[in-house]
Amino acid sequence: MSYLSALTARLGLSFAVILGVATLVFFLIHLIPGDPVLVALGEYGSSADYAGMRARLGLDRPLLAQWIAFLGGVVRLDLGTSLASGAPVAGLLGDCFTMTLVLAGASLAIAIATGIPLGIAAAVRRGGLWDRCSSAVAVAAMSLPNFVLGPLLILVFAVSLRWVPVSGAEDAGSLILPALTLGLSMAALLARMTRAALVEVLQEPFIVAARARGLAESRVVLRHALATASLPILTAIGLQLGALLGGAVVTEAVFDWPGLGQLLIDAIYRRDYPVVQGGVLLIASVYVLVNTLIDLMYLAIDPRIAQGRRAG
Amino acid sequence: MNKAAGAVCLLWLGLGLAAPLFDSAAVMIDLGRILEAPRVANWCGQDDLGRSVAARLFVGARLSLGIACGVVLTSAVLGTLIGAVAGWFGGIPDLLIGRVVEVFLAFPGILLAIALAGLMGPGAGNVTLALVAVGWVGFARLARAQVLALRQREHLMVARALGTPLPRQLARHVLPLMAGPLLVEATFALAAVIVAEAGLSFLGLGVQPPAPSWGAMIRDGMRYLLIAPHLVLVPCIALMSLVLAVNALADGLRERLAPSLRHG
Repeated sequence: MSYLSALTARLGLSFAVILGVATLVFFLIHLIPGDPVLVALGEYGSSADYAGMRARLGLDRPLLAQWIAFLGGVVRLDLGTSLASGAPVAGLLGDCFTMTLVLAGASLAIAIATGIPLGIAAAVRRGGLWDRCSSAVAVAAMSLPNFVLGPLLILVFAVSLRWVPVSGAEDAGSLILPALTLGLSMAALLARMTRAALVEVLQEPFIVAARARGLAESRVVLRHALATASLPILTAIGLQLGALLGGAVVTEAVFDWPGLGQLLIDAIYRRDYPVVQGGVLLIASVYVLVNTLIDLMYLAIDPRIAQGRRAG
Repeated sequence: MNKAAGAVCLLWLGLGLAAPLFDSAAVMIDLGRILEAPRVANWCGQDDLGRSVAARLFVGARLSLGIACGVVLTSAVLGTLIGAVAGWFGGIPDLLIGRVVEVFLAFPGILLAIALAGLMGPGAGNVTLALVAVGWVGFARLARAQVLALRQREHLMVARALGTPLPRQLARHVLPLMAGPLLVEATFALAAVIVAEAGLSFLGLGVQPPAPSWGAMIRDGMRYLLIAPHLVLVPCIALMSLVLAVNALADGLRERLAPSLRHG
């Protein structure tokens, strides 16, 4: 397979997946047992309210027409208007998305800055005390859900030590705890992936050759081994971005961080269906796009993949 | 390590099974003992309505384990069936199922469960449904890969040549060989579902009060973090111990039953 056809095949797959995701999100509102409009209006809605809301949600039209209209809206980035505020959903999402990006970016930075060096240290001294300790800590950190780690961090750093605010997003310090909450479990996973990838590469003949040529050990590990191990590490980061986006929803709820997750949960409480649909669609699409980008980077980095062989 | 993990799992299972003994204590309001701190005779203290945190923890263990077992069993059966169909028949069914799996995998973490549970409304049944909607995918992928590999084995070719009916082929010659990896996957899934259920409850989308879910206990305790941290600490420690133990158990099972899954 040539580079170009590999590229088109990958992009086509992503497009199909996003189309499927949009369809599933569209059907969310139809999957709710009972009448979504009745549920949203509660007991006090009049029949005029009922008819009006059905029309606003487009539920009075045939299912196929609704579906086509929804997909058409997605293409034009028109996700309807919020039932609660009447504002366009796309605008609401855009405002909150920036905050989520800030949080996710900070967490990713923490994860990369701590996870990769720790993984390298563990791989170089494999089986040593440091390796065994860090792998035990990593397992524990990965089992720690965000809504457990978050309150524990608040208890230590905000309540006892008073170094940072408990919640909100008013000053710069308030980013620290949510970013740590979200970043630490990813750091643990990244450390383990880095270790596993490096341990494998360090046994390759070309590493022995590099050592035999008398290169400094740091140069062997950082330039020769790490460069080769970067593909699996990159995969781990890509897969973890999903956990990061999903975890952001919960973390934002812990810290009252005004991002997409908070918007989504509020919309669920208010039965604001268009906002729920838009939020879920946006998060899932970002995840698909990021993973597509990473696959495309592979194609650029490793020509074997375009020929249909996976890099080991 | 494995024995300790097994002991912790058994402990929580026992406490969960013994939950009926604590049902009345878990809802008994004692306004004289509001937010009472833990002490030697009462390790877990009392909550914001003076209810026993320990009793609520045990009743919560039943809820958490009950939902998690229900979700894992349902997703395992459903996912294995779907994945086995894809792997066995290949062709168009495989292609269709593969695309559907891709779409479900596009929702990071418990996002889909949050949306489903949120829109369907709270309650144990809806939470179970929402988590099954996310959970079947892992089993489907595993079953597909396993069936695909097993189909080529000699003993199955012999069975086919002898004219063994398909259901018998699957039940006698495929399923027993898949059981190990499936059990490992199910144990890991159990830990993940316990976390996910607590997460939904934490967001207020799970089982509703007065039923004491661990996630809801953490959420409610957050309001008293400054004056009564035990309300958050106790359920957090309970959840961590259970999840760590189940994960360690799954790790041990994997070493024994399916070492090939280590990088999967």
